Amino acid sequence: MIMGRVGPAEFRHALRAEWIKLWSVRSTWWCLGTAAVLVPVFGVLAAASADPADAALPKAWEVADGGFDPLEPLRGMLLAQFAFGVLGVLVISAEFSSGQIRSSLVAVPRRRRLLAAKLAVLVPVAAVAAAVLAFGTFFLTQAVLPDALAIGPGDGGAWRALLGLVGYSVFIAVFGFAVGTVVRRTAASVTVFLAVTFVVMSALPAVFPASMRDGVGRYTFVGLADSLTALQPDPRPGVPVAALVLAGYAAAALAAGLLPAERRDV
Amino acid sequence: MIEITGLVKRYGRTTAVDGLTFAVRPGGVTGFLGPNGAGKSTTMRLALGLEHPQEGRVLIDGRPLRAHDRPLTRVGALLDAAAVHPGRSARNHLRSLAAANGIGDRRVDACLERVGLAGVAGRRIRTFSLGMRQRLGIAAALLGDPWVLMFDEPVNGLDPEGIQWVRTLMRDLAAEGRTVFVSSHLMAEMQNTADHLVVIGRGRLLADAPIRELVAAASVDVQVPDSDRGHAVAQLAAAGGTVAADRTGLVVRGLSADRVGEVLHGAGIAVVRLAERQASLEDAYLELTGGSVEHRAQEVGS
Repeated sequence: MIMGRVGPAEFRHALRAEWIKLWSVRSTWWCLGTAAVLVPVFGVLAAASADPADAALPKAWEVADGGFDPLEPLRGMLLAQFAFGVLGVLVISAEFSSGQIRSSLVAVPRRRRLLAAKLAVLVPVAAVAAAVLAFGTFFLTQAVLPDALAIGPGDGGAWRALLGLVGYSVFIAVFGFAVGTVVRRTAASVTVFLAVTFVVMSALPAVFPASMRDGVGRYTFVGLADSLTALQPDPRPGVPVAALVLAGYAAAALAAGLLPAERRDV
Repeated sequence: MIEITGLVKRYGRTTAVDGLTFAVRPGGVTGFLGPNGAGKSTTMRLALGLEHPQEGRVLIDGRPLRAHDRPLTRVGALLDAAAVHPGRSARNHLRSLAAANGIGDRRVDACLERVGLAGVAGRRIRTFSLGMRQRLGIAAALLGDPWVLMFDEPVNGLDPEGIQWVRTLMRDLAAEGRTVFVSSHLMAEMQNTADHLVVIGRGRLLADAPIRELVAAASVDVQVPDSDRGHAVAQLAAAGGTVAADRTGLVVRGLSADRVGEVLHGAGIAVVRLAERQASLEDAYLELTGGSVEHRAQEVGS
């Protein structure tokens, strides 16, 4: 019996439920584990192959173009985005694909509460995982790089670029979640997520006149990620604007998933 | 108490639930019967707020489910064996649902114990048989110790022992004063379990009555000499019976076998054969749902 328990089910209860759900399926471990292996391994290999002669080049943050980029070994983190995105997709699509959603919605009939709880678990988990990965790989790769090439987190705004990697990872996870909320089924959601993130966003500039391609390219996911994570001091669109535009993309995608959620049949 | 009022659910041009109104009362087992595709599962999904009706509403203890705090403490539902993530262990599945309503792990373990899954609680649901999944679904329904329980085809996939167990469980829950609403397309199952029946077909209400009444409405077969047939029909109709003819004789409803004998005897008609047709729920059901094509008699008078 559960007598003696009073008070309504609150958001924190839904949060607790989603926390249990996230860590009790293997796919979470697969997604985070894939990124946790790929990023440092790629980083160490890239750092180990650096040419000590590059120490003669200017540092990337000192020039508008070219120069030696000590964060180059962290580029793997941008490729590992798919793992964060798929994690975001699966958090919701696995429920629809399996039928679990029906059990979940009997326990939490307020759908936006359910979805908000999922998001509120996903965001910090993605953020912590990305931070461990970005900063961990940073220190690892700088240790592997020849001393003359390695930098510390305070050099050339490296910490800002690392935070940018974390922020972009969280954005991709949220975007994947939003796609999963709209599309629902896992296979379709993952396909749509990958298509938008890696195909549509890469091909988008090509559909514009040549004179606009560069400008458009800066506002695609990849372009914005570059703004956030590069050491190069490119003024367009700049870190604050890039962060705001990404937040706008995330908000729009979430709105498409969350606003109709109460009306749609399950 | 579940109150369903004027419920309509259409999918495109198909009407799955067509103006259902009935109430499910506490303290008994109410069977929800109808052929496959009659709209039983849809009605249950509507009651749980998983789908939205075009018209009508469902109230659980006076409010829509979503208006209740800690809904699992109000209603427990066994939907279908697929309403689980197969990669999760049975225990973690229940823990997550319980946590959403502030219910602790001790209750989870008690429910696993009650449905006989304590020994496999750590196994992933993927490895479960259909019967084990049904038991898990029942454990989920019991988590919040709710006063309203809905079971959609609970005996699917269960072995005879499991069926007996579910039957006893439902009777026990009803005896505690709870509202137990259980769907089935199997009449025989209901005959042993339900106190009250709601029968639907093609989304419409066909019957909402105590099981006794539905069984009592069975018929009497009587055979009289052909020459007296018309006379017998008139006499029985005058006595208040509904009379139909089939190949071998007359089928009388609304009169007991004794009364049929009396009426015919009083009219001086020789009775060749008189038999109470087995008062089975199956017959009543087939009759209601229009499935009894083979035995359908031609109405000759009323």
